[in-house]
Amino acid sequence: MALVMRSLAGLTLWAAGFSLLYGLHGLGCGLGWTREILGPLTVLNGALIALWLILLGLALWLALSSHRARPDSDPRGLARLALVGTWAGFVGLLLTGAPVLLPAHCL
Amino acid sequence: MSGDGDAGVGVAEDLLGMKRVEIRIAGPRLLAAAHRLAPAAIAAGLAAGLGGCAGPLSTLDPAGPAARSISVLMLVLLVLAALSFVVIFGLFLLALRRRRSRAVSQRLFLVGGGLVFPLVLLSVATIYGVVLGERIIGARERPALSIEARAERWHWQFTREGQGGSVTRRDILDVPAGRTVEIVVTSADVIHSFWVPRLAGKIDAIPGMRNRILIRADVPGRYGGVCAEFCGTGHAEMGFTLVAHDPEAWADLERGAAR
Amino acid sequence: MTALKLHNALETIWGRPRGWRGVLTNVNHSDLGLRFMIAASVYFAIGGVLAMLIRAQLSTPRAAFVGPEIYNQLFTMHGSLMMFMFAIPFFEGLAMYMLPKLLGSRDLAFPRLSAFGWWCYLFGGFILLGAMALGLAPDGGWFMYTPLASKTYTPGINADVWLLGITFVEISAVCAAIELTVSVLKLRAPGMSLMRMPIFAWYILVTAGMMVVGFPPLILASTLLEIERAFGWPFFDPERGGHPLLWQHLFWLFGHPEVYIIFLPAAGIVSTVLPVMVRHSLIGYGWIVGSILVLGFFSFGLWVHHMFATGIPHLALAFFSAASALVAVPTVVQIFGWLATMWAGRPMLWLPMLYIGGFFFIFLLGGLTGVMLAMVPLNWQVHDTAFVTAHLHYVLIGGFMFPMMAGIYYWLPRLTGRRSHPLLGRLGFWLVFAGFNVTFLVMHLTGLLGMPRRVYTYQPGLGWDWPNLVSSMGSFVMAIGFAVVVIDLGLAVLFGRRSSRNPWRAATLEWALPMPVPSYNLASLPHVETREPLDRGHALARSLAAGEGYLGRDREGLRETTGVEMVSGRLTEVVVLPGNSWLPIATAAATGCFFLALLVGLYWLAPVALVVVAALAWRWAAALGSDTDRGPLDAGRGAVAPPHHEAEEAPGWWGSVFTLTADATFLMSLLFGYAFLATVAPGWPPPEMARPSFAAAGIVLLAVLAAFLAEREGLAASRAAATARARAGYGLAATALGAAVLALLAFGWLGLPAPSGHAYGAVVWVLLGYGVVHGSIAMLMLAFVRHRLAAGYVSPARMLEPRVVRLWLRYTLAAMLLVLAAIGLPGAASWRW
Repeated sequence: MALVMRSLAGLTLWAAGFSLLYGLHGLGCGLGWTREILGPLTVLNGALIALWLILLGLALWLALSSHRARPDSDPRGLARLALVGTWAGFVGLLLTGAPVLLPAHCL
Repeated sequence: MSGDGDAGVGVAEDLLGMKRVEIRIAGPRLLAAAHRLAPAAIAAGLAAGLGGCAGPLSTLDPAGPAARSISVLMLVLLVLAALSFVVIFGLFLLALRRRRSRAVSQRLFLVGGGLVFPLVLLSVATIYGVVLGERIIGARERPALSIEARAERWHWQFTREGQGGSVTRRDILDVPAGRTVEIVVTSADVIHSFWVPRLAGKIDAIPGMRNRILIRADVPGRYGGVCAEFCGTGHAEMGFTLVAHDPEAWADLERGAAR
Repeated sequence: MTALKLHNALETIWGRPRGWRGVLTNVNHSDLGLRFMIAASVYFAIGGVLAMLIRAQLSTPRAAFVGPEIYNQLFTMHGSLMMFMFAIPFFEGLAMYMLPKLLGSRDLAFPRLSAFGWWCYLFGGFILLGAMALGLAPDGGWFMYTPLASKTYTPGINADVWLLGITFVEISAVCAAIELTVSVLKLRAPGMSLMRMPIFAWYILVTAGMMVVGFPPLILASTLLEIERAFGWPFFDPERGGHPLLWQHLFWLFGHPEVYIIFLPAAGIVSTVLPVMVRHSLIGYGWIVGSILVLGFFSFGLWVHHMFATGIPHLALAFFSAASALVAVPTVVQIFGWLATMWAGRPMLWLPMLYIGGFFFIFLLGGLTGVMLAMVPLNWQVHDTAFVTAHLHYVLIGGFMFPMMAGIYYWLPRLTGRRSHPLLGRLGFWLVFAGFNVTFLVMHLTGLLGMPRRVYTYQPGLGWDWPNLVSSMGSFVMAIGFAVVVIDLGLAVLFGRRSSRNPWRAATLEWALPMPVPSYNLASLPHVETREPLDRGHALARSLAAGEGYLGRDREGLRETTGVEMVSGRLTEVVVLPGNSWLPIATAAATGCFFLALLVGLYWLAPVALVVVAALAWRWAAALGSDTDRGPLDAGRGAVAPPHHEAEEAPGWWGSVFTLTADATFLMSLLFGYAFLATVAPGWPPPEMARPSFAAAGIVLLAVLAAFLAEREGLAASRAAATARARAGYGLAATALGAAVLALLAFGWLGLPAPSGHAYGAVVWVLLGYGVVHGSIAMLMLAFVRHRLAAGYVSPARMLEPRVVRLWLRYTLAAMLLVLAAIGLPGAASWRW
C-alpha cells in the first residue's frame, strides 16, 4: 500500500506543482510583476523559477528515496510502480515547468 | 484448433484447403501492398495538395512573416509525423508476418521505442514551437500603429487614429504594407475570433478583454479574414477584408483623402 | 451439493422476477451493462444520422439543405449525443458487464447504484431527445461557450435543456465511476493482487478515478451557468465582475480528461484482445500499468490547449504545450508494448485483429496531428478549423470506436454465445475504414485552406469545394459500412452459429462462465495465483460450477461475493449485496423531477423533489446492514471472513471516500473560479464586499466544534456499546450542526451583498450554499445513525455506519470552515459584530 501511495504521491506532486506554477503566473500577471530585472527576465520570472526549483528538489528527493524504500516482502511490480510514479513526477515537473525560463511579460 | 466467428478465414494453423490459406494470407498481403503504395500515395497527395494549396484564406499560401514561419513549422512537423507514422505502422505491418514465437527485447521496445524515441522528437518539436511562438508574440515590439478590431454580431468595426481623429470602417481593415501593425481585438457581445489566415494566427475577441496581435502584410493587396469562433446564426457570414496599402496610398489614406 | 442444485439455488437468489416488475427492479450488472450498451448504440445511430445531415449540407457551397438555425442544432446535438450519450455510457456498459467476470466476482460493489445510474441516463436522454423532437434542441455547440450560451444571446429553453439534461446524465456517470473504482479495488477473487489483475481492470480503475475527479468541474460549470441564466447571478458576465473564460477553464478542465476517459478503456480493450490475437501474453504489463497511471494524471494538465487563441500569456501557454507533448510518451509506451507483444507472438488476422489494425492506423495519425496541435504557433493557425475536426475524429473514432468494435467481436461469443458471419463482418470493417479515411483525411487540408468550424455554408472559389464534396462522399461510404456492421451483428445475434465456450483460448476468467451467462456469474469463486488463471481445458470452470471454490453455497438466500484487501488480494470479508429493489428507479424519477422542475421554471417543486430524494436515500441506506452480530462466516475452501459490515475496510466506506473526493473537487473548482475571477476579471475589487459578522462566525465556529466533539463521543460510545450515550452524542452533534447551518445562513444574510449585482456576490453566495447543503446532508446522516443505534443496527462489531458518517461529518465541518474563511478573510478589513 505504501508503494502505491508513493507512486500516487509523485504524480500528485506534479499535479500540485503544475497548478501552483500556473496559478503563480496568473497571480503575478494580475499584480503586474513584469518589471525586467535580468535581461528580458522579470520579477515574476524570479518567483516562478524559485518555486520551480523547490518543486524539483522535492520531486527529486521523492524519486531517489523510492530507490531505497523497497521492502523484500513486497511484489517487485509495485516497487517498480513507485519508481515510475515518482520519476514521472520529477520529469513532468522538469519538462512542463521549464517554460518558467521564458520571459514572463504576460503577453 | 477451434474456430472463431470467422470460420474459414485465417483461423486454422493447419492448412485445410487452398481457399482458406488464400483468404488468410490476403489480409497481410493486402496491408503490405498498401504499405508499399502508401509512401507513393502520400507523395502524390502532397504534390497535388501543395499545388492546390493556394487560396484566399489558405494558411499554406503565406503573405506575411508570421504565417510564413508557421507554415515552415507545419512542414517540419508534418515530416516528423510522417516519419514516426512509417516507423510505428511499419513495425505493426512487419509484426503481422511473424510466424514463430521469439524472444523480444523489452528494453529496445519499451525504453528505446516507448521512452527515448518520443521524448527526443517531442522535445525538439516543443522547443522549436515555443521559441517560434515567443518570436511571433513580439513582446518587445512596440509598433507605431495600433488599430482596434471590435467584433459584434455579425460584423467587424476597425478603428484607427488618423490625422483628423479616429476613423472607423466596417468589415474593411486598412493597414500599411510592409510594416508591423498592432491589432487590439475585443468584442461587444459574445466571443468571436479575428483571423487573417494568409498573414498570421488567430486571436479571440472576448468581451471584457483586449487581446493584442501583431500582423504584417509583406506586399500590398487584399487579404481575406474570417470570424473563427462560433457566435450564433450569422457566424458563417462574418468575414472581413484586410487591405494592405503601398506607402503612397497609405499616406493618402492617413491624410483622409478620398479612397 | 451438485452443480445443478447449486445453480438453481443461486439463480433463485440472484435472479429477477418476471415481467415488468423484473425489468424495473433489476439490479443485475449483466442486464444493466447490456442495456447501457444497446441504448448507447441507439444514441450513436442518432448522432450518426445527424452527422449525415451535416455532411449533406456541407457537400456543396451555398447549399440550401438547412439554414443556420437548424444546422446549429444539428452539430450541437451530434457532438453532445456522441460525447455524453454514446461514448462514456457505452464504456460504462461494457465495464459493468465485464468487470465482475474478469475479476472473478459475482457483482459490482453497489448494485442499486448501477440501476440508479441506468435510470438517470435513460431519463436524461429522454429530456434531450424530447427537446430535439420539439425543435428545442440546444444550438450553442456541445461546449456551450459563454456569453453565447447566456440568457441574453440564447434566450430560449434550448441551453437549459443542455445544462440540466447533461448534468442529470453526468450524475449517472459519476455514480458509475465511484462504483467501478470500488469494485476494482475491493471485489475481486481472493489471491488476485493488483499486479495479477487482468490489464483491463487497471484501465477501468484509472479511468473511473479520472471520472471521479474530472466530472465535477463540468457539474459546477453547468450549475453556475444555469444559475446565471435562471437568476441572473453574473459568473460569466464581464460587465458585472464575471469572465467568459471562467466557463472555458471549468469546461475544459473536464473536457480534456474526458477524451482520455474515452480513450483509455479502448486502449484497455487493445491490451486485452491483442495478446489473444497474437497468442502471446502481454509484454510489459508493469510498464503499461505505469503508463496508464501517468496518463491519468498528466491528462489533467492539458486543458488550456483548447484555449491557445484566447489571449492567455504565452508563458502560460507554454506550460500546457509542453504537457500536451509530454502526454504522448505514456501513450507511445503502450504502443510499443503492443508492438513487442506482436513481435513475440504469432499474429492471426481474425476480425478483432483487423479492427485493432484499423485502430493502429487511424489513432496513430490522430495522435500525430494532436502533437502538431500542441505546438502553439501551429495551433494559432488551425484552431477552430476543419483540421481540428479531422484530428478529433481520428482520435475518437480510431481510438475509441475501432477498439470497441474489436471488443464487440472478441466478446461476441461471451455476450451472445454465437459467432458472426466470416465475410460480412470483414466487408463492414473495410467499408468503415475506407469511408472514414476518405471523409477525414482530406479534412486536414480543408482546415489548412482556412475553413472554420461550425459554419453552415461557405462561398465557392475558396478551394473548399472539392475537399468538402470528397468528405461528404466518404461519409456515405462510412455510413453504409456501419449499416453492414449492424446487420452483421444482428444476424449473428439472431441466427449465428453457436460458439464453443472459449473460442479464442483466452486465459482470463470471463471465459469460465457457462452460456447463457448466469445471473450470479460463477457458482463458486476461484483462488487466483497468476495473471492467467484460466487453463486451456475446462477443469477450472467445471470445478467452480461444482462449488469447489469460495462461497459455493446458499446462505439464507443472501447475495454474497468475496471482498479482498486492495493491494494483496487477500480475502478480508464476505460482501453481502442488496437484491432487486424499487429504490433505484424511484430515486431516479425523483431526481428527474428536480431537474424538470428547474427546466420548466416550477422552482417551488424542486425542493419538494429533493425532500423525496432524501427520504428515499434514507430507505436506501436503511435496507443494508444487520441487526445482529454474525461473526466470521465460512467462505469456502477452509477460509473464514466476516460479513463486510463487520469488516475494517468495507466497500461502502471506500465508496464514501471516493464520493467525497468528487465533492472536494467540486469545491476546489469553485474556489479556483473565485481566485480566477478575483485575479483576471474586470471590475474587481467589487463595489461592495462581505461585511462578516463576528457573532455569526463565532456561532458557526462553536457549533462546528460542538458537532465535532459530540460525534467523537458518539462514535466512541458506540464502540463501547453504550447505546444511550451514543444516541445522545449523535443527537447533540446533529443539533449543533443545525445551529451551524442556521448561523451560516445568518452570516450570509447579515454580511453578504446581493448575488446578482457582481460576480463576487454570486460566488460567495454559492460558497455559502455549498456549506448549507452539506451541513444539512450531514445532519440527516447523524440523525440516521442515532436511529440505527436505537434499532440495533450498530454494535461494537458493526461500526460501518458510524464510520461512514464520520467521514461525511468531518468533511462537512472542514468544508464549512473553509467556506467561512474564503468569504471572511478577503473582507477582513470590514469585520463587524
